[in-house]
Amino acid sequence: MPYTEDDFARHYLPQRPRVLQLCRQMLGNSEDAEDACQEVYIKLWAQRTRLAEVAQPFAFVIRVARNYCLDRLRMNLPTELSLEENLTPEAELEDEGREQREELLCRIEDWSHQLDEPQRSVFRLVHYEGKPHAEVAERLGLTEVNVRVIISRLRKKLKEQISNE
Amino acid sequence: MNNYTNGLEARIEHLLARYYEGETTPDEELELYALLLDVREGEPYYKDAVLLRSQYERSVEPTPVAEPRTDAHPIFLSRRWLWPASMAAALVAVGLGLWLLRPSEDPLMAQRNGAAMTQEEVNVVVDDAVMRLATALDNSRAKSQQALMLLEHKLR
Repeated sequence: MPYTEDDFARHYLPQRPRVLQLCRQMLGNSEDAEDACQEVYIKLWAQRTRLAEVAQPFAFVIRVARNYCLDRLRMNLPTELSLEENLTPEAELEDEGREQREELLCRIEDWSHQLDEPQRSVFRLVHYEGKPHAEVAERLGLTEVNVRVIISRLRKKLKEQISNE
Repeated sequence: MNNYTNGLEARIEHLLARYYEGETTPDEELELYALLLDVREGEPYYKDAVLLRSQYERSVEPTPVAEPRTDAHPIFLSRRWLWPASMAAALVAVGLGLWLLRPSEDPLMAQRNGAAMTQEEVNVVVDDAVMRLATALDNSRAKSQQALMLLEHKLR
């Protein structure tokens, strides 16, 4: 089935703020970030027929943007963007078992549900909803230090649990 | 000079150290996710990559969060109100005590066990009462400090 304009709008346009955020963070400059983001989207659109192969648009566009930014930082110049190198990891992932990966992410979410309060709310608001610590602290009646300490402990604990899987 | 001047691995290590201390900003976490995106099982940083993937690749419903902790701790134990409440209670107690133990304007009205008291005797009784009140307030203050320390210990 051909990859349509609607597919592109549905899968990739909502990711633009995140792509811009990443470019700004990596390049450290809003103007360069805008250029990079625009370049990424122009290239994606130009080669949209290949996008039907992509299973995870968010991960894909982030990968494309990351590689573009790294190249730009290395050469300090705008670079030619090829989608070929970025498509390869997607294909590899199919072989490695997407289901297994999904299951692992699902188990992490289940683990978060079993936490006591306020750890559960802190973890879910910070980890899954990306809320800033100050907002989480205010919402839960904690201090920012409390939130930082809780999230730090939970991340270390979770990493340990992944080690034991 | 940029964040990658010392190499990709140095940048990843720097961000990971901050990530596990809960010090990374949302921008830095997105950067870390992007940098670890292609890490496979068995490779360095695999567990870190899984954590980051769970953060960005798992769409979950907005979390109905617990009520603020002020509900879990009754207001009289709230740190914010502990000292003002203690001071207000102390002032009321002092005022009430002085009013109840005030010397009578009429010496004949001041009595103990039915016997009239001189002004000097009244003064001694009042001094004694004030001393007892001061001791009680000291004890109250010590207990307030204990409660405060207990509250701080629970909040840690």
